[in-house]
Amino acid sequence: MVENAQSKNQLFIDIDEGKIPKRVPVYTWMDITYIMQYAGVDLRKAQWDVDKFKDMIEIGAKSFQSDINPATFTRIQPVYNILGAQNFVMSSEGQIQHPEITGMGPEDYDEMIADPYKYTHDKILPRLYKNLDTTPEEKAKVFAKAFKAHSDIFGQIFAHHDLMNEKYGLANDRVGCQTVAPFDQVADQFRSFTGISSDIRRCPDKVVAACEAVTPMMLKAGVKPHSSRQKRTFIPLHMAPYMREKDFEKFYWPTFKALIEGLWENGAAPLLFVEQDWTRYLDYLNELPAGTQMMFEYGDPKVIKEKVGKKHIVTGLYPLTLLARGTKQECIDKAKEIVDILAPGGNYIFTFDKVAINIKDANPENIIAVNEFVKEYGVY
Amino acid sequence: MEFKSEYYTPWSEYEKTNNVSPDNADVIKANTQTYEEMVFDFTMWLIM
Repeated sequence: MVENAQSKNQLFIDIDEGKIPKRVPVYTWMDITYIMQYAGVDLRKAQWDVDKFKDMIEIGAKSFQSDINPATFTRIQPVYNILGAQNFVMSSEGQIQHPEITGMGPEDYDEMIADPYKYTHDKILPRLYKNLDTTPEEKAKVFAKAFKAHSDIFGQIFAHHDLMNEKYGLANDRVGCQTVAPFDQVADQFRSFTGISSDIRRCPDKVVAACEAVTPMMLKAGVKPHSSRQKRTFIPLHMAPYMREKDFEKFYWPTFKALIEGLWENGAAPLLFVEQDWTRYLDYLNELPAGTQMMFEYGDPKVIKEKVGKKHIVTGLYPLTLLARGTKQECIDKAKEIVDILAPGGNYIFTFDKVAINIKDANPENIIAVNEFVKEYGVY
Repeated sequence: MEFKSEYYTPWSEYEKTNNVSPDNADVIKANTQTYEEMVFDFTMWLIM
């Protein structure tokens, strides 16, 4: 059966409306650097070349048997270069890496809590981006150049995605915007992993207040005019698996839950990347509003289906590492095992457990074989 | 849970400060507030 974009979109709409679709939808995510390597282009050069981005979007659209174009852009080198980024740095191989960096000192909690957005502009950005650490006049010029580059480049990316969806009959991208859990925001780019780990012992009240202070900003980031169940708010979850449960309850969960509830109240449906193993927290996740999409990295699929899969949309759990080292048959056998557990009753989209970034992460032939298999086998 | 900042101008404040005519509010909002929101979105992208 030849499927067009409309029938592929309907698979996801059915999931979002709590209906069982005709078959399991297949949604593969790849960082654009994976596709650049698949295409055999020089990563170090291609990261700068916006025209080449368009070629990569087309290769993503036609090559991997995903119902949605897997090509995903998160890090844009020309913008980072204009800003002199310290937090996103290109490696010698051309991958953009995120070194641990502290944007905020522990003495700054009160200033940040008073006005997180102002503090971000005044203090965080100049620490993360060295070309903004200059005179106000020069800072305004650098910010304007970077803003213009970001706007132009993403404008071209989104437009070309739409064109390729039409050309290859793909479903619409499911991500409409991104936000971050309040605790992860304070930890990741403000205080750093090491800094926040110390703060929750030394100044716990300040950490709680900081998470509460950034929550309205993170909520605003996650609600857009186009937000809907089909254009979701992506939220990569980070720190919780590394925390003790009593710390999670105190520092992470209250503002994270408030964020998710706030998104739903404002018409935005979350798509969580549940990074690492959240088995300890499945009962918490089940408290979130129904229909939240959760892409799990690790955990027992049977337990996750039983505890979370009746209320929420479950995805992930297929090990990307197997695609790197397994035979085609081993990969297909694993797909059958996962689909047999997660597909019954619906509420399931087939994805891998993480985004492929490097060509070494997954053999492209295995990706194609598995996606083709799921489309045929996952018919309801 | 309302977002407020010294560095963010919501439309209600822009309307007052700039004496926006109610007759033209829709078209002025679409062609001014959009850029305030774009700067906010870009700022968030820089810290995510």
